[in-house]
Amino acid sequence: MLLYRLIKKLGVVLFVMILLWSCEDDYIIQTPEVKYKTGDAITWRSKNIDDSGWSLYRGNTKDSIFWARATIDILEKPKPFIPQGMLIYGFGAYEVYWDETLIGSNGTPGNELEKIGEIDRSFIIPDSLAKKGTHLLALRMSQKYHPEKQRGLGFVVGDYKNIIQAPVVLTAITYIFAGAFLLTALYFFILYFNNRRFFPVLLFSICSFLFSLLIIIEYIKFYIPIHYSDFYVRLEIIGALTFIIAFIIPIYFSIQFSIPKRKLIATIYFFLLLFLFFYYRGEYDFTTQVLILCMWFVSIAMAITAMVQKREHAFIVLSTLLINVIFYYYFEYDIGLILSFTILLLCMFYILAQQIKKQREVYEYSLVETSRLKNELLKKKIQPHFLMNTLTSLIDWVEESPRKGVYFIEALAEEFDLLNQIEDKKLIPISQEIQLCKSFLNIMKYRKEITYSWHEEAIEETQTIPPAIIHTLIENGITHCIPDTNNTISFQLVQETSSRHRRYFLRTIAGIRKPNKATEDGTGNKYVKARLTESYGQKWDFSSQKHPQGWENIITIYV
Amino acid sequence: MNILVIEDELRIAKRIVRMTKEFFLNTAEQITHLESLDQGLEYVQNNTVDLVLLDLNLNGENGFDLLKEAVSQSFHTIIISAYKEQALQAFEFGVLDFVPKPFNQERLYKAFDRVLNKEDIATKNIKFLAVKKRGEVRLIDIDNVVYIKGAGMYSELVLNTSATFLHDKSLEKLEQLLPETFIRIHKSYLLKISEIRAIKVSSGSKYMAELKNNELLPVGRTKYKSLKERMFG
Repeated sequence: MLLYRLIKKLGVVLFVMILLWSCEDDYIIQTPEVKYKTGDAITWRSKNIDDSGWSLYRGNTKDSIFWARATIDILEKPKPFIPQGMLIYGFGAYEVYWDETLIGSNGTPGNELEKIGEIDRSFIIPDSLAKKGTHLLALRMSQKYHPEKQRGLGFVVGDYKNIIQAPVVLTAITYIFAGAFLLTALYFFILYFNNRRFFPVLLFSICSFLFSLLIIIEYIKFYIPIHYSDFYVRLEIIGALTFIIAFIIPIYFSIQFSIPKRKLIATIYFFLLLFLFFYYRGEYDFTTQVLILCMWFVSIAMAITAMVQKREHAFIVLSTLLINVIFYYYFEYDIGLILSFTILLLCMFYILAQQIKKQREVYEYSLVETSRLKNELLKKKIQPHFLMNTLTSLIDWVEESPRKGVYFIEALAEEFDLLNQIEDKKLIPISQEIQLCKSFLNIMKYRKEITYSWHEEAIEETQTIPPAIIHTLIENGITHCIPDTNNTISFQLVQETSSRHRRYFLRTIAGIRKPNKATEDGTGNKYVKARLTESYGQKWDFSSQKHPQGWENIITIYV
Repeated sequence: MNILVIEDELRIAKRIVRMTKEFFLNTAEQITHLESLDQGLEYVQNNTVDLVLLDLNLNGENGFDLLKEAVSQSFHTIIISAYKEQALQAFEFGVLDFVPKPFNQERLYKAFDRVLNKEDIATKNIKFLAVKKRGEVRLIDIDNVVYIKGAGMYSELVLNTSATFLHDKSLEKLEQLLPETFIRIHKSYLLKISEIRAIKVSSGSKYMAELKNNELLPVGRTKYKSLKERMFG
């Protein structure tokens, strides 16, 4: 219930995020045609030089200085007293000339030994130069590091405050998510190690953690200055994180949906991802996109398999995945990525929450079942049929033959004493169970005036069994069998042991009261089965059937 | 008198048989002990029985099946059971008495007194009369019974739907079991008081009860006084 509410809340946050993202209209990136020329001349900042011979490609400039020229538009007339600014996405060290005026620098072109400057840098445009219309931008640059990389230039022009603030606002919102997923990861991590060795819990925890890390790394550029020479380190980290997440998510679904041959599939899938990762190495954003596409494809295939096999939650997962794919294409790269991962993680979270709820119910049921069985065991001896009939017989014995009456009382005392010893145990030594049976037969002897004989064979006395199960079968035997001509009912308990199981045969050698009556499970057999399940899970067998000499019960306990 | 004891606990059965012998002495012509329902059913079908002492929980079977069968028969039934909570239901079916286990001689004798003295039973919770029709036992809700007419060894139940059913018990035995809302107005009629509209006196001082369904039933001369008392205080 708590988890459900959490999911609902996260859903609301997600909705707000989508709204905020879609409102980001006044943050337009301009990518005008840029002309390059290697060399250095201060006049190249001028508006009125002829740059028609300049190249559209920079080429490998090594560590020499080059110039880049472009025209930038200020689309709307700036409001008075609102400082205008420009954000430059640039790769290298540069000085910025706006309409021939130097308005700032990012590192020192031509002297880059000290790594000064950052990949995204904002500059204030002097008031007098920030008029509506077209402006000339000239950059005096050098690109000592990764000189062969051809990364273009991007510009955002507008309200300076907005230019600086917008990425931080976006970061703040996405970091809320990072925080939420970090906490989720911690919670499930602790959950996994504390009490539930349930592998999907750990996978989900790892995924949540990696995802929060991915968000942090993705947006780190907005508040930690990154020099362009370190630019690829961040992309490498993002690539590696995406790789692991893209591997884990389908694995998670394959376990949740019990997909057949999932180990083989996982291995093949891993090598496929690895191949793609190295094949498209150096293409960064494209590589991660390929990996994610691969993940979608495999996950959707698994969800469809699960649908066909009518697994629980398969429909929810499949629809989430399909919605995700749409999201992924609708939004721009990083927001689409975060949004779809978030939805996917929520979907995984939902399945896990449902499962944990179910496990909890099963656990609670087992607690109730245990106390119910204990009650049933106790009730055996205080239920009126046993108690009142015993007391009636006892009165009669006391009236008729006080000496036998005393024996009877002693037998009764022994039975209650034994019961007292075993009542809250789940397993007892078989010797104790046999004692319980014998003392019960002793009581019944006085009540029914039938001779009950007991034989045992090959019993390993140290072995344990659930309490009162053989006792229950003996009760059944007494109820449903009639004595032979010697007024005797014999019980035989034989153990058969192998390396794989131990087996108990309990035979009642007597006539059957209603031989043609269809046998269905009475409360007795249900008790036996419930007790066996409680202690051995699925690793037992129980059968009860006619036998040439009477009736035979077989209990098998597998090792 | 023919008495049948159905009880699967031998020690208890011996006790019941012994006490029954001591009580009825030579009026008990035969006391038979059987262990199971099936044997009991077979026995009552082939023998004349005057009284059945029945344990409701035999070898894990439901004694109410036999009880329905038993109460539809001509004899009275006394239940001897370990389950006190079954008493209410047993009385609803129309048993003469319910003796809970463990019991002593005194309690069993009290039940036997009711058989002999035709004494009314103390708790009249009877709700149904079990009748046999085409070998099947049907339970008739006594709320639907208007009056009962004696027919020799049997009785005839007349219901508010005008349907009639034969019951194997005599009118005397039913009178013993039925609550006080039923009153004996004639040697052959047992009538539910609430069904009477008026009492008419015809020539020769013959009394007739006029029922709400317009039927007329004779009222015995000796019964008239007690009927008048019951009706008008």
